[in-house]
Amino acid sequence: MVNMQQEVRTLTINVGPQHPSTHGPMDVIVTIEGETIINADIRLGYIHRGIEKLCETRYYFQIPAYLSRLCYVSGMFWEYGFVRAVEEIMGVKVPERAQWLRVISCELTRIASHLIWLAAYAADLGLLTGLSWGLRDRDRIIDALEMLTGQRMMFTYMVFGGVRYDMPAGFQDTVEKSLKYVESHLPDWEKLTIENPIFRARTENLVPVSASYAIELGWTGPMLRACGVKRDLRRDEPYDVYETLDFEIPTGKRGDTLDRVYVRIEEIKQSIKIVRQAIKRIPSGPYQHRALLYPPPGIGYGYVEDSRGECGYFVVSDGTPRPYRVKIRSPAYVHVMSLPKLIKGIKLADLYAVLGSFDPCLGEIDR
Amino acid sequence: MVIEFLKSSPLLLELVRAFIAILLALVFVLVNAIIFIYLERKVWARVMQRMGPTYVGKWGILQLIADLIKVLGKEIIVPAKANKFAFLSLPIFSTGLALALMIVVPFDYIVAYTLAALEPIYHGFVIFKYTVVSNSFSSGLFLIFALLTLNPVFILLIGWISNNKYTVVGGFRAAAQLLSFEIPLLISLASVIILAGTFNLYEIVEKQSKIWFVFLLPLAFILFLITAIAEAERTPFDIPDAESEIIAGWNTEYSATPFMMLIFGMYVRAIISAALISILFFGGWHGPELPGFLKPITGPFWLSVKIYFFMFLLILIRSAYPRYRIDQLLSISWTKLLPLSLINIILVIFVKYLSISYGII
Repeated sequence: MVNMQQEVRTLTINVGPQHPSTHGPMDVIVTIEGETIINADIRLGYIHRGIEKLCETRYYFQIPAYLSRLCYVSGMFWEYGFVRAVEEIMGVKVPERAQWLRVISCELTRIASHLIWLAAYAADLGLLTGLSWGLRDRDRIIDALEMLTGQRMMFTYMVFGGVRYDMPAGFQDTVEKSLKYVESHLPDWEKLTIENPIFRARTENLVPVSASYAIELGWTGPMLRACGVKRDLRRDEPYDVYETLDFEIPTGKRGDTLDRVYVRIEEIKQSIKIVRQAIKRIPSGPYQHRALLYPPPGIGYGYVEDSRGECGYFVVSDGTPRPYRVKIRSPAYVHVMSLPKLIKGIKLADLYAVLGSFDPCLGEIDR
Repeated sequence: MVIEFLKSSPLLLELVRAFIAILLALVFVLVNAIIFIYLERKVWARVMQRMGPTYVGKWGILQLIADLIKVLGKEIIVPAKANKFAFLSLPIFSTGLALALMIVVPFDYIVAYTLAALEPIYHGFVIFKYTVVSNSFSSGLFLIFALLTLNPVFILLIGWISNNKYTVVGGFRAAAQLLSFEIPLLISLASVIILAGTFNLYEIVEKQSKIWFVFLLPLAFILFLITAIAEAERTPFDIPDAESEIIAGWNTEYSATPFMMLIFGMYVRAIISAALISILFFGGWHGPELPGFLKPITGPFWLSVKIYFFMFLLILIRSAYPRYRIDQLLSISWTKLLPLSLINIILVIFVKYLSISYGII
């Protein structure tokens, strides 16, 4: 009898696997009492494709094509992380022009990824205008990337020892035009989101996370920087030519949802700055180093500062043309799995505001 | 001869007038609802830097007719656990309620006004000169209150009868939102009634022939604008059918024609909000007289201009703001709008005293 009364008071809702706000097939099982969440659980794996296992059955040079499918809005980072891990085993020295091209392509992808996140997040809060604006701005960036790589989404641009194609003629102008286009709309974005009174009312002081707790949860990337921790692999453990570039690391103050929006908008600005410098300073020379088809026996770890956090690849090679083991470290997985700890006691409508701010990309979470 | 016959029996004449009044209001609503939806799609698309509908007809003007035909051809799906009779009949009540609101609004007067101007051409028009709504609905605003109060009941029932968790949550949200916004809405309307001294919408407009009420009651106008947006369930108060949170809220389970009716009812309520704002605060059909042969349509012209201005405002508000959370909305209603509307009631007493002594109403 007591149990029955308990059941009447609470309601269990499956937010997902098909829901407009989960950004992919993912199931958040929430128990609500009225509108207040009293319990939450996450069920993942709806698009598990076994990519880690698949990598063990493919030749090394085939693998990056699979890995850019891990996250279809920031595929460049995911193939890059693997290429870095394999290059570490090979001990290849990447030509300087290739390093600059990698920086340009990665930063352009970061802008595109943050823009599509802004678009999706605005739509989560009922601001459908943002959805359209994000796609509009991202399209210009994707145009530039298409010119460089020949693809709009699944780039497969990184190869062992360099990049697949050199910069085409007129690429600088296209990039500059795209960046100008995005930059001209950033004030509008700020007005629409972080300066909008209703947007602030929805996100300000929502689920604030302290710096120490964020580190405890294993957060990385913009999520950690929003909590006030100045951690960025591009600066702390620099790879490629990031040491020589001039850029800032934006951090938030309160670690709330509004700060996560603020940090990502600032990161778009910093990435624009980086691409501008790289386009000017790129040296001439070879863009590809003749590398082995597959690495000698050994282990390698490749890390990249992804648009979501620290993406990591642990690759074990046994000297055969196929890897022995590939382990992927997905930042979005870590972020999403900390959700149930944070959302108890908030309102149901805020679940979407919080979950959206984590930038969940189900492709890399489920792998 | 027909006219002579009608004039000889007052009851029949009254019936004919009532019928024509209802017909005119319905035609006005149907046409404007379609124009409003088209306008929203176009204007919002421009804010989003999209094109909006372009393919069907010139500038996509036939898009909504194409959509209508498409929706009518869809299968009506009734959830297995829902009560079929109630599930299918509730949209009729809900939409009918929204349409009933429209009859109270004196649109027939502006038609009568136009027809009266044509009297030298054809004498028969004279029987429509005094029409039902402006003449007989002396409790017009009362009826609006009553119909608005009935609305949450039907929405809650729709959410409940669909037997779905999302619809139940949406239904309760709608009930909480509409009930808590009705109180500031009614109190802000009460200030208009005190100022005009009548419940009849026609007389309220006629009282504004010298000065619009928006200049006398700016606070009441702002309160009414906010609460009217909430009553129409539009962004930033579209919490009951927040598509990114609870799928489509209370109308999640509906498809095909019943769904179209519910959506139509929501747009009708938005039009009524715009119409009531322009009638209660912006002087309805009053405005500078149009020159030349356009003179007969002065009334309809100004009323339409005002209604479309507020429709446009509703669309722009929708495109620029995200939605509030339900508890924020309730706290706005109870802690801000309600005290302000009570202050407004006190203010209106002084405003009425002053405006009568200066002879402006």
